[in-house]
Amino acid sequence: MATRQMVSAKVSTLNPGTIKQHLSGGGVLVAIGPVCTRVSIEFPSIREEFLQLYHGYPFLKGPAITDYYLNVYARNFYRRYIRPQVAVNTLMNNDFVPLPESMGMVAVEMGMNWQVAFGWKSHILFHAGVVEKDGIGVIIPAVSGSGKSTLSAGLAYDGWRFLSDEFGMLEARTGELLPYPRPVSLKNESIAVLKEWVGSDIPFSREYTGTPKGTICYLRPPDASLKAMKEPVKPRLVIHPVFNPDARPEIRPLTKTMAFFRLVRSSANYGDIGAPAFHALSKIAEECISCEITYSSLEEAIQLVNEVVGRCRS
Amino acid sequence: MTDHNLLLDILKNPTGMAELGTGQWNRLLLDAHLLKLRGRLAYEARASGLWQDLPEKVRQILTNAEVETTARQRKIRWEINRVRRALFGFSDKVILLKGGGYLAQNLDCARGRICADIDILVAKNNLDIVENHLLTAGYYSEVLNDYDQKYYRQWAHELPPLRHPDRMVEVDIHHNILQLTSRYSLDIDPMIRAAVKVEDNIYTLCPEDMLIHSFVHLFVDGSVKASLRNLLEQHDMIVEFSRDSTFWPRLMDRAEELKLTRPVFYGLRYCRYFLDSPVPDEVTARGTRAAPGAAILKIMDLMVRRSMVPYGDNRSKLTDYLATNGLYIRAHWLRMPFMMLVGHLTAKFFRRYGFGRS
Amino acid sequence: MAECCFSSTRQGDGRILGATDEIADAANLVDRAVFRMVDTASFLWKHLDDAHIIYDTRSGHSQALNDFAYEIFDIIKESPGRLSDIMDDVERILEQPLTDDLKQQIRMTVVAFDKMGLIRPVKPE
Repeated sequence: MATRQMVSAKVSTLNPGTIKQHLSGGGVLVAIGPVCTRVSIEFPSIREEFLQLYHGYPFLKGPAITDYYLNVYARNFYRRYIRPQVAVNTLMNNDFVPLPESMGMVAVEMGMNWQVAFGWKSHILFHAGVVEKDGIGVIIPAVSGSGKSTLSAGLAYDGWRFLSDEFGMLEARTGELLPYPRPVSLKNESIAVLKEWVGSDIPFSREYTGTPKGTICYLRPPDASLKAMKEPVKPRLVIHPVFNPDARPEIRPLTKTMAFFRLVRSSANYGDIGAPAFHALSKIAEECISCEITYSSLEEAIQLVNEVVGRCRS
Repeated sequence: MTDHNLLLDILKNPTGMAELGTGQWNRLLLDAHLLKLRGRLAYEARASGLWQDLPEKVRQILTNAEVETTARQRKIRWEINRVRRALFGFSDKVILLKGGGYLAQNLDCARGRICADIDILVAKNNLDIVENHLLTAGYYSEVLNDYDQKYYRQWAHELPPLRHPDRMVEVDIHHNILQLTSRYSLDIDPMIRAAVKVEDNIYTLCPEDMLIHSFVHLFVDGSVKASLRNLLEQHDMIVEFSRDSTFWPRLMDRAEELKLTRPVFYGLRYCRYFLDSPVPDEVTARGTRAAPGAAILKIMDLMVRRSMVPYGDNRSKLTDYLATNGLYIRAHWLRMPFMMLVGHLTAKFFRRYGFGRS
Repeated sequence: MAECCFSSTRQGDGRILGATDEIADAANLVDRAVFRMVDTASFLWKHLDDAHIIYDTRSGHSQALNDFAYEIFDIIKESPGRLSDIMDDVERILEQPLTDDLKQQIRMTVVAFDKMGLIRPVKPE
C-alpha cells in the first residue's frame, strides 16, 4: 500500500549540523526501540548536551509517524535569559518541578520517561533492566535504589547487550522482550562505580548535582547495543537484585507464584493491558528461572548473574 | 476561520484513513490526542475494516489508545459493580448518569470513549442512606470540612465526591442534574420515574432523558462547554435512538414537559451542523420554536464553532503548535460566560470573528 | 495456616487479606447472607507449582489461592449457600468436626471472596 511505503522513514544518521538545526526548530525525530519522539530544545546549552548524549542514536531523515512530542523551552524572556529555567511540554499533562537550565538534560530525560510510562500500552512495561547474551534474555526488576540501573549498566559494559535499564518492554503476543535502550540514569555513588568500571569518560554525560534525587549522571549504552535496538530476545531469567553492602553474596530461588506476583508488581501497565498481560507474565513465571541475588559490589553482582546464567544453560 | 478540519472529516468518513500521508497522520493523531478522541479513532479504524491496512506505527499508536480506553472502561464497570455491592439491601432506584450509563446500556456512544468517574442519581430523600451504605463499604469523602460539606448539600446538586481507597475512582452522588439556582430549575421526579432498569437496583435514564441530559451540559454554569467529544456522544445517541420511530416525538414532548427546549434546540442544531446528524426536518422545525433571538443565536454559533475545533488549518505548523504557552488548547477556546454575551457585542468582536466567513 | 490467599491488586501490593477493619464491618452480612459465585467465564486460571492463581478480567485483580481456598471456591461454585452451608460441606469433605480455628478460616475466606467480588450476596428468594 502506498501509505505504508510513504511512512517508513529512512533511518540514517543525519549530520550533526542538520540534527542541531532541526532540534532548535520544529524538532528532530529520534527513534529509540519502537518509540519515535520529536524533540525540540530552545536552549543551545541543553541542545549540545543532548547531541553528545544521544550520539549514535538513529535520527530520522524523512517525516515519520510520531509517538511523542517533547518540547523543552523557556516560559518567557526572564526564564530564558535572566534566570534561565527549563519548562517541559510532553503534551501529556506533565507537572514537573521547573529545573534550572544547568539541569536541562534531566528535564529531557524525565519528559521522555513520563511519556513512555503513561502512554505506552502496546507492550507490557516493566520497571526493570533488560540485558541479553547468547540469546538469553534477563529481566532485572527492582524498586528504585536496589541497583538495577547500576547492574544493567555494568553488564552492558561487560559484554552483554543492553536493552534497557528502566523500561523493560515485553510483547504479549510473541513473549519477546524489545529493546528500549535509553541512556542509563546513574545516581550518586554508582556514578563513580560505573566510571571506574567502564574506564572512560566518553559515554558519560556531565554530572548534574543538586537535583531532587541527588547527583545524576547519564551513561550512553555501548554502540553495539544501539545498533541492535530492533532485535528482540526471549526472556529466560528473572533476577531480582538486592544491594546490601554488609551481606554475603547469595542466590535465592523464588517459587513460581512469588515470581509471578513480583513481576506483576514491577509492571506499571499490567492492569491496563489486562488478560494478555496475565497470560504473558504467568508464562514467564512458569517457564523462566526466577531468583533474588544479594550483593555488596558490582563485581559480585555480575559474578552472581553469570552463575545464575550458568545454571540456566545446564 | 474555517470549520474544515481533518479530524472532523475522518470522524464523519472513517474510510478516509486509507488515504492519509505521514504529515496528515501526525496531524490527525495529535488532534485526536488533545481532544481525547484517539480511542474513538481506533474504534472507527476497526469498525470500517481498515485496521490491517494501516501503517504499523499507526496501529501501534491506536492500540495504545485502545488499551487505555478499554482499561478505563473496565475500571468504571468494576466501580459500578462495587457500588452495586455496597448498596446491597438498598431497594430504591440508583440511576447511572453519563458515561457510566452509556456503558451499562452498552450504547454505541460508549465505544472508544473515555470516562473517568461515576455519576449516580438518587431521590433526594435517599441521599443520606446511600451515602451511609458507601461509607460503610469503605468509601471516604474527599471534602472533610463542615462548611464545604454544607455547601455541597445545600447548593450543589450532589454530595461531595466519594472514593474507595482500593480503587480511587470518583463517585459523585446527585439528586438533580441541574443546579437549584439555574434558570432552568428542574423537577427531577419524572426522570427518576421513567428510568430504565439495568440490573437489581441499578438504572439508567430513558433514551430521551439521556440525550436531553447531554444537551443540557452544553452549558455548564452559564458558559459554553461544547466539545467534539460531547457532540459525538449526542450524535451517536441520535443515530441509535432514532431507529425507534417513536423516539423523536418522545424527545420533543419530553423537552417541552421539562422546559428544556432551548438546550435541545442548540444540541440538535450543532449535531446537524458539525456531524450531519440525521435530524428530520419536521423535528428541526418544531425545535426552532425554542430558538433565541437572531443576535444571540449568531453569537452562540460563533462561540460553539470556536470551541469545537481548538485550532483550524492555519495552525498546522508544529512549532506554532508547540508554542511555549503550554495552554495549547485553552488559548484557542472561547469561554465567555453566557450572561456576558450581550456585553461583548461590539463591532470589533464581529469584525474579528465574523460569522459569515467560512 | 494463617493466610488463605495471597492477593495482588493491579499495583501488586501483595497484602495478605484476612485481618482488616473493613471485614469486621461486613461481619453481620457474612453470617446471614446467601452467597453465590459470579459468572466464572470472567475468570482466567493458572496453576503454578504451589498455588491456583485466579485472574478476574472484570477487576484486573490477580489472587493466589492455596488448596484450602480453592476448595471453598469450588463449594460455592457448586451451589450458592450460607456460611453455615459451606461449613457443613467442608465438614463432610474432611469427615470430621470443624475446629474453631478452621471455622474462622472458612469465614475469613468467604469474606475475602466477597471483598474481591468473586462471590456476591443475593437476596433470599
